[in-house]
Amino acid sequence: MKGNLDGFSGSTEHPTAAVLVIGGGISGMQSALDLANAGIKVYLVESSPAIGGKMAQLDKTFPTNDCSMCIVSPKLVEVGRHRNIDLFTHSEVKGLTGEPGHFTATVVRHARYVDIKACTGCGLCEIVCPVTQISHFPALPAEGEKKTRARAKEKSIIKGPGLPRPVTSHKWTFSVETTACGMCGGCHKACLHGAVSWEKKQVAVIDQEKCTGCGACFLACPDKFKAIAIADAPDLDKSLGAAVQARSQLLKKEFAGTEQKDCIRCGLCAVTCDKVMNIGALKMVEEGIEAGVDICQVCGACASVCPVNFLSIDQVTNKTPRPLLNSFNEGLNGRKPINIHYPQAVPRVPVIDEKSCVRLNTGACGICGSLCGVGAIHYDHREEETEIAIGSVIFSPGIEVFDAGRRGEFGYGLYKNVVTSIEFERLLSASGPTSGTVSRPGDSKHPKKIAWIQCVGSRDHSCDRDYCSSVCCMYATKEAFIAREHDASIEPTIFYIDMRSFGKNFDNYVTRAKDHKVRFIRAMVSRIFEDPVTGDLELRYVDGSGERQAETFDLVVLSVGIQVPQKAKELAGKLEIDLDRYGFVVTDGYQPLATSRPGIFVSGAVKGPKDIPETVCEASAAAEAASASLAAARGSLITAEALPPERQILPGEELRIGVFICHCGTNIASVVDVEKVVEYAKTLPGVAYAEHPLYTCSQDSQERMREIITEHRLNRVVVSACSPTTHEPLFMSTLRQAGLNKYFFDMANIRDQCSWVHPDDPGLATEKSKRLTRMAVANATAGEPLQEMEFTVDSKLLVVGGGLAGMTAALEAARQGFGVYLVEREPQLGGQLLHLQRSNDGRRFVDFLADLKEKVLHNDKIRVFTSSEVVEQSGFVGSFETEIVMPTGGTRTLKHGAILVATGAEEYRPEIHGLGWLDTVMTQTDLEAELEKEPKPQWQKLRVAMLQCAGSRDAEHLPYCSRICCNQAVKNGRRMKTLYPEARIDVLYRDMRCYGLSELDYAAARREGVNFIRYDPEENPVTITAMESGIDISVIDPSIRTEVRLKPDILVLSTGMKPRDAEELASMLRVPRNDAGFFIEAHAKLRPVDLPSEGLYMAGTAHGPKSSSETIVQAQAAVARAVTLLSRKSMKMSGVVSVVDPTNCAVCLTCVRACPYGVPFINDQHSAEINPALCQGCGICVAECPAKTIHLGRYDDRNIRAKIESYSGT
Amino acid sequence: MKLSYYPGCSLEGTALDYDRSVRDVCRALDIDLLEIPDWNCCGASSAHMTDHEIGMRLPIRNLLLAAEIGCDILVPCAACYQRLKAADKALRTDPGFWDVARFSGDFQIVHISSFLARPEILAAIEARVIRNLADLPIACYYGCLSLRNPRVTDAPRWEMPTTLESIVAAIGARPVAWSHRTECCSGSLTMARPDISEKLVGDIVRAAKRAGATAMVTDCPMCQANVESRQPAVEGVGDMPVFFVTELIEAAMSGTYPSKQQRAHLVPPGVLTGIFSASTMKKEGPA
Repeated sequence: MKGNLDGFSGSTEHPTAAVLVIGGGISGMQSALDLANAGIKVYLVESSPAIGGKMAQLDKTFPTNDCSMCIVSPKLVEVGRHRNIDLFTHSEVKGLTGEPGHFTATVVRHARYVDIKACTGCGLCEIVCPVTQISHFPALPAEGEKKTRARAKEKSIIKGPGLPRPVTSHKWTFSVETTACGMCGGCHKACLHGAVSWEKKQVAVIDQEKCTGCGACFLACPDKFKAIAIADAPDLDKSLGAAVQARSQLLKKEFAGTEQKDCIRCGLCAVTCDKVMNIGALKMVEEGIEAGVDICQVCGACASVCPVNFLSIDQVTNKTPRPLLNSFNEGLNGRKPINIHYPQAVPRVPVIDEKSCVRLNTGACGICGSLCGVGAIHYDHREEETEIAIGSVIFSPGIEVFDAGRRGEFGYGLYKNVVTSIEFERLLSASGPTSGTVSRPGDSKHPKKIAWIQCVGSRDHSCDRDYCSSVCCMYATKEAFIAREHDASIEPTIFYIDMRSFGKNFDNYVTRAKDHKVRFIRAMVSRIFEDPVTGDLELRYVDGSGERQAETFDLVVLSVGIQVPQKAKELAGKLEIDLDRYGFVVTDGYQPLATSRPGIFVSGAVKGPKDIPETVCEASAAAEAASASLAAARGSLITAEALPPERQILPGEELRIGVFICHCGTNIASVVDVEKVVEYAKTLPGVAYAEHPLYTCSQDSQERMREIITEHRLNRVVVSACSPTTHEPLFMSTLRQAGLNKYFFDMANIRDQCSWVHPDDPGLATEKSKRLTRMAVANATAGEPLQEMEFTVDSKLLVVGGGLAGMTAALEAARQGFGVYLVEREPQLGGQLLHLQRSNDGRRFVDFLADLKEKVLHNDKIRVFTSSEVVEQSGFVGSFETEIVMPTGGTRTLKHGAILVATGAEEYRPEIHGLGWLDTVMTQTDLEAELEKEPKPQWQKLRVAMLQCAGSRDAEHLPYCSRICCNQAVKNGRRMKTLYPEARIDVLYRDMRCYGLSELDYAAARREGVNFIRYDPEENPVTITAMESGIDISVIDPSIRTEVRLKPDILVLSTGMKPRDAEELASMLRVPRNDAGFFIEAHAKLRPVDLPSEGLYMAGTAHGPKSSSETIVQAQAAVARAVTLLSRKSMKMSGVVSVVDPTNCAVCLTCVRACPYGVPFINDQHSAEINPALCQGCGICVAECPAKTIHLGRYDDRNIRAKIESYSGT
Repeated sequence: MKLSYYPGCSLEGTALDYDRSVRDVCRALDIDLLEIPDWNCCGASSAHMTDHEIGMRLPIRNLLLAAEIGCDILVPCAACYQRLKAADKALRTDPGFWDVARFSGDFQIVHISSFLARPEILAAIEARVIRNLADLPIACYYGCLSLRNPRVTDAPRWEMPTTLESIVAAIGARPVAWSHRTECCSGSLTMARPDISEKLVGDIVRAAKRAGATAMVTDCPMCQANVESRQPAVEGVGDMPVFFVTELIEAAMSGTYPSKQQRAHLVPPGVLTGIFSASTMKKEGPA
């Protein structure tokens, strides 16, 4: 296997500095951002219509209970807006040719039928599309044949409780065009109201007094005459379908809340079926609606346009309707053929589904195209093939969930109230099908008792899913936890085998869940019985004491495992990369991101099940691995934005404010009278210009805004539109492009906070919009130009700690082209790895370590300082100074742009069970060392007991799980069995946490005869007496429910890992560590290798216990993050930073204490000072300062006061 | 179509009427059944419990006899099906171990319900129905042996089968949704431990009733005999007839439910008799 550490063979002198990232989930997005921010061009290919992947579907994330969408959407926006990321959504990679450094990929963009550039994402098309079902389209006529309509043979009349009650509201005017009339009398016969008078050979005449506007005459008039004209129909100029929708919407509003059960004979259903869908299966008759049930195409349009829900789709057809299901919501609700993948999708552009769209299949309908305000819909789109040149590839297509139907005993698919965990995520989600109400799919009742069944499609040989899916224990705990947050009366129960909460802070989370009344039962459910009357579910299981139990629940959630989708396997085949029997990408533990094909790297759960932080970490690492050999060409394919010089606003210059009130299609304008708001805005002081664009954010509107700023010499801009979170950066960059300081801007949210929440009160909503706009204008008036400080970045990296993480990081940073200082406290490099023997695949660490040291010591970009320690640290991101003490006692100052902390961890050695004074008691590491020595004949029949969690998960010792000990015990147990087959090994464990693919090793150990006995420190404690005379252990083995006594020759303690002393370093760097002494990441989920202060990163066991392979990944990830900084020549900080006005500073130290980042200090002028480069702009010091002498850019008192005053004023 | 036919002992004893209905239904569907000449015990019941070797050699002999005919073997009894499948798997893996020189194995062992639920057979049945079962709410009951262990039976959906449901729907009955379709009826314990049998049969029949069923249908002769015979001893049940699937098909295709057949039940089959006394003829003459 050729890997990332050795670089590529072949010529890479002028590699293509671009990377193809396959898959737009959290993994692909992180890789893309880290690459693009480090000067590498990115092509991101995603098969679904929008990026976001599985993470976008989740409700909350463990162990912090952060909202998944809230934390992922800034990433979505950043990827979507990044000028060096080319996004290919709804696209696929078809092939790859060439060599590392010079690949050519063929990418197919599937026809989307909506122009991504033109579309503004308003969603109107989705609202007006009337199709809700998978249609049975009529056969297209053979070539040359004329299209004929089928005639109904089977008819059914749909009646209400009473006769139709015709209404004339919003009625269209029908009239006969005298010249076109064929005098056939069809209209006269069709009219149910006697409004059409006709006599033979005479032109028909419609009596407008009698006409109810149902359009029966219009439908009856033969196509060859087309003599009935329609007038007074809004939107008829766009299309008839558009007019139908317009009238339907008006009638729906009128009838909202009324109990109308009878047909109102508006005629919209029949008009739609005949003239829009070109079917003609519906006809208005005396009693109601006559349906030609055999010719109905089951599209659902008639039922959609019916204003009073008189029609339902199953009444008009003899076929079984098949509703279109929303795949993002796991099929729990419906969708239209034109569909935006999810509300926060990037790009927020719909796709038309070729299988269900009427227009694409029969040529009829076309409502969306006629109504789209920006002309973005193109029914003639075809798929396009593109060839792109890249240097390397990252394969991160993601995973899918196991098909729960394969575990038939749980009745998934048959029992309505049995759902999968991902479906449950959607039920919990506020933007999900139930708007976050936990209800049963069977009957919408609120469930009280909910059961989770773990390991459905995990750790299961019977369905070829032998591996552990790693995430289910935690997500089930989270779902149970959150369900109770939604409804405190819910009683959750989780049925599990082993609780695998092996990650950082996971055990604490499970404990909190237990405190929140989440019940955990260690049992596997054998079968579910559904009560056919109530839909309740009876679960059968055997409890810990061996008793059979049956318990009834309202809802059952199957914790489905994860698997590699068939499509991903096929793609891997095309890319010629090796997969294991389950479809996971095969990698080498020492080069964990390199696939079998040089130049293709892998990240995410397709390499083995993993959670979000590990995926994010791997994604950064893959970005590093994929770009290291392209470093020579860094920056050659990216583009920088060219900006005009900023116009200086002179003091006293006349205020000229431009105000843009957005329609947002109909999102705002259908409720708020935008023209009135514009008129009002024009009256506000300082407003020089105001207008109301249809979509302020669209490409052409932005062009126009730039022109208007110049033309009207505007010096402030206000936009009243949607959310600043998503759109403010766009508008601000437009200001800057027009030569205006971008902080001369403010935004009012009159959509999310006005039109969307007040649709029923347009008048007051318009007033509120005026007021919000007024406040924004006041704030903009108070605005000041802010300068973004620019400073140069030192391109060197300081790595603290020379273990596996530190050495890997140093080498990788050097490969990326940056100078490295590697500081190690001990006399020699190697760290904890010096004490370990073999990796999980059996290779000796000593060879690997020797090679690694050799490379580090001989790399001319790396300066190694052994026996040296950091003693002082100053500076800020991009420009740090660190003082180290060398073995000579002398100090030396190192200048560098970033810091990587890799101080590591060591084995914990508690004085328990005779460890330290008995030769027969040792740790796993000791045993590993013993197994490397000469074979000992006396060990042939050795009796070994291994005690897991010896000093781990124990309040008196290490309170946390050390993650690696279970795998280490399995590894040593198996090695023992290989060397001494007759040895007896008993592993005493609490939960075997062999996560991911290491479950396979655990299963192999059991097969090979290693014996596992479960204990529980509270309910089933182990009694151990370890003396010089011998070791005596007794415990109850729950699998045989009998006490067993062991008299092992040796006792091996799995003692866990504790961090090395880094307290002084942490306080020098001002970065936090947790109670156990591990460094705390900037964000537990999405910034797993960043420390909270800018420019500081970490890797390896300093972050938390992990394996050697995971350490290598993290080291590469941390380098990727550092490179996004080091590769820049200079940096700009945000203009929004705190500034102390020294005149009023009382040196009270309030700001020094309040700042969470430790930035303010007292300078030699006896005043507080805030380094703008370090300030995060959070504003805490501004609020706390008793003298009110700290100011913060746009959020100054002046701004807030201006807003408040304008709120109350008129 | 020609099929070899292995009736087994039940169909010559307690389920004599099952054998007759299978033959009649096949005749009506133009399927020739060639009874395997000189067939012997399938090895279920006592044989395979006593001695694995005997339990295998008995069905192996049957398979070797069937091999001479060469057609697929139709097996109505669940236990026979299971034993023949086990023998078939053994012969395919290692015929030499069982002293068989060559086993071509180019024929399949076909269980009755999966055979009748084939789309083309189902369509043929549907076309021949002259009196449909008038929406009779019926609980389809599979028991265990025709489905489990799936490694032996090759049943695709051994926990949630649907073959009986699709068959009875084709003849106009309404299969109810219920959860005890593959539960154990305790057939093997019915003589030794009637206490257990009564409990399990009670659970099954009560579950069927709760789902709204007024009758049950099965394809297993042991289940049929056991669930009917143990009902009278259980309180609250006792009125749930258990039909053979072919019995219902025959009735629907012939339009009659003869009294001789009615008397074969230990639980009176009143619900079905009721349907056939009412006028539900599908192909009636002009009124």
